[in-house]
Amino acid sequence: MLVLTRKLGESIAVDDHIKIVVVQIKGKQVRLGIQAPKETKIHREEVYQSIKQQNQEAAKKSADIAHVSKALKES
Amino acid sequence: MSVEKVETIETSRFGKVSVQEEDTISLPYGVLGFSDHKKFCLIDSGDDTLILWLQALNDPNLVFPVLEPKIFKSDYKIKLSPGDLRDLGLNEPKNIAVFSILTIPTDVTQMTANLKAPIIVNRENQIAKQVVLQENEYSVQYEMFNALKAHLLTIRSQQQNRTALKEVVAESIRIKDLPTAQA
Repeated sequence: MLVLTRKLGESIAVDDHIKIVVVQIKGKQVRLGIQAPKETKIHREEVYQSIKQQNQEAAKKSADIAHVSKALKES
Repeated sequence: MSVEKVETIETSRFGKVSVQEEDTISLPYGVLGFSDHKKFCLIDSGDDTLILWLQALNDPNLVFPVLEPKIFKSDYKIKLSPGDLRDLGLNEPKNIAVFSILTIPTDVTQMTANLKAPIIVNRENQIAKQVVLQENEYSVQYEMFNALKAHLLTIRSQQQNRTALKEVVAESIRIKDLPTAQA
C-alpha cells in the first residue's frame, strides 16, 4: 500500500482524472473530497462489507422450497 | 455427429444436475465475498414461486436463491456504469437479465432481497457480474415477502381466468362442429 502524508487542503491525484482532497481534520475524523469522472464508483468500504455479509447470509442453507411455496400461498 | 457439451454437477440441494455448456454463466469477479467461484448455472426447481437458484458448478453447497426484482418492485431501476458494461462485454444495457439475491430465513415471511447489488447477466454471452449500484436508496435487505405473495396471487387468478376461457372456447367449437358431423 502506498502511504502519503498530506496537510489540510492538500490533495492526491489518482490517474489523470481523480483528485482526493483533505477537506477537514477534526480529532480522529478526516473529511475527504473526491473529484472523479461521473462513471467512477465511489462507496464507503462498509457498503462492500454489508454486501459481502448479505451474500454470506443468502448462501446459508435457505428454507426448504416446498416450505417457501406453501408460505407464499397461505392467506 | 454433433457433440453436446454437457457437464453433470453435484448439488446438495438438487442432487445431480446436467448443465449444457451454453447455459453456464460466467462471473469473472465472482459473487462479492466468494471470489473463488466463477462458474454458475441457473436452476429452476420447478415450483411456482418464480425463485431461481444460482448454483456454483464447483461447489455443491454454494447456491444463491435469486429473483427478478421487477416481480416484487415494479419501479426498480438500475444504472450500469461504463465499467460495468465493459465487464459484461456490452456496448449498451440491452438483452440483460437482472436478478436480486434473496436471503430466505426459516421464517419465510422475513425473506429479503439485495437491491443494492444485483446480479446482471448478459444474455448474449452468459457473462454476469454482481454490480454495486451507486444509488443510495437501495437496501441490501429489502423486505419483499408480501409483494411477491401478491404478485403470485395475481398470476394464479389470471391463469385461472385463462383456463376457464379456454374451456369455453373448446366447448363452443365442439357444438359448432356437430351439424357437419351429422350431415
